Amino acid sequence: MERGNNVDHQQLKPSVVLTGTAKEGSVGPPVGLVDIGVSEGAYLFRIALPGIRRDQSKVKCEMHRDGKVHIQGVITDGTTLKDSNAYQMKVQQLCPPGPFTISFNLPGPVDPRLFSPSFRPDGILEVVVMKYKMHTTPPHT
Amino acid sequence: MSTSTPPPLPHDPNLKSQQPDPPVPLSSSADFPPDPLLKSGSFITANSPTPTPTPNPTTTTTTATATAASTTTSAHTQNKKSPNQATSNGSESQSTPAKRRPSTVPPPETLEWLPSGWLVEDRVRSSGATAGLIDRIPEVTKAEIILNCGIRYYASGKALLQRRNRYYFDPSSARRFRSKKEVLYFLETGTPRKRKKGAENSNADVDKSGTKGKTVPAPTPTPMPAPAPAPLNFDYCNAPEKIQWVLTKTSEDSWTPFIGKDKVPENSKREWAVAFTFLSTSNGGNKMS
Repeated sequence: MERGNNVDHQQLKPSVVLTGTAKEGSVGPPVGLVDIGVSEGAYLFRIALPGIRRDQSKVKCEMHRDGKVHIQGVITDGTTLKDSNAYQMKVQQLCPPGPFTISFNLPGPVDPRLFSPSFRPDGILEVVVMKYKMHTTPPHT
Repeated sequence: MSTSTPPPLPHDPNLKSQQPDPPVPLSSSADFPPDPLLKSGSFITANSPTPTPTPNPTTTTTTATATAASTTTSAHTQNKKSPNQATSNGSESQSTPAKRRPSTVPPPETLEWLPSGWLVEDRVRSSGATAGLIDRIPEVTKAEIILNCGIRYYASGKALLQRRNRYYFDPSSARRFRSKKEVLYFLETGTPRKRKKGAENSNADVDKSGTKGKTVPAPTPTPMPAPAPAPLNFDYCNAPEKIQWVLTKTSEDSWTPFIGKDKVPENSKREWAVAFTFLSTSNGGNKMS
């Protein structure tokens, strides 16, 4: 959409680290594409997690105070076919089943408690997390 | 207009004094050619470019000023009548508020904190849903509302105070107060309490409170400012090093936080959610400023 106009690719591209099967899916709709946005008081990130099911993938998102994000899960054998073993795969671009982690850094420190995740049905994990300000006092004082 | 008015007498001595403003009537009367006042020898140049009176048609200037004078005199007589009516109406209307003003009486029950000589005025509401009721709440209830009410009930407690219609009147200083707290503050300091909201102090309210009493909210002593629904126990400063959010209850997109191996209790998770929504809404306000 507006990607490419607003996102600083120089900053973000090297910061995403993929391991496991997420690393192997090099072509096609890969796991681990990241959007990062900033507002006045919060960060937003979206991660593409295709082939990851809510019910089987054991998705965890580890949020560090310094802005580090670790997402781990398991890509399950994503077939609905009963006789999938009957096929010998000729092209394999999707991530093969197995565990994965996605790691990247947000631009600044966050409060890991103020974390609002949403794993959308289209396979994108969308998270808003509040910035952490060391000397911030509660607004009503 | 000039055609309908009866022709004034040209030799009226009053008309000579009306001479100083001929230009405007002259130019206006020039628009009406069939003027019966114009004699056969006199004429008006209809296409005169300047409205300044030319010295030639002296008769037309007199007639024009005559019509102007007649209209002005009639207007004067009308104006003389209308102020009389206005003053008579005003005297009648001035007498009515004195009847409407509630009588200040000495306090029916002894208020030991009220100095002797002060008067208590109970106002009967004349409008609204509770018209005809002397609605006030006892001081104990008021204190309880202020001290015990939570954030949510603060507004309703204030609304309760607003319906209170008792005033305390000091005849020696001619000041009126709406609450015991105001009276005590005045007795202690000698000056009326200043409002936080609004630029006017309660000194001006002595004069205006009779009319503004229903609109201006009663000054409530605020021991604590009422914030937006802020999380009560949220420690903004000490965020934990890391939290693991695990997608549980996968059918509902529900996430459970863990600190280390320990699951975060449900109530603190709820507290975090309140803090999150509070911050996200208040940050929208900060953006504006």
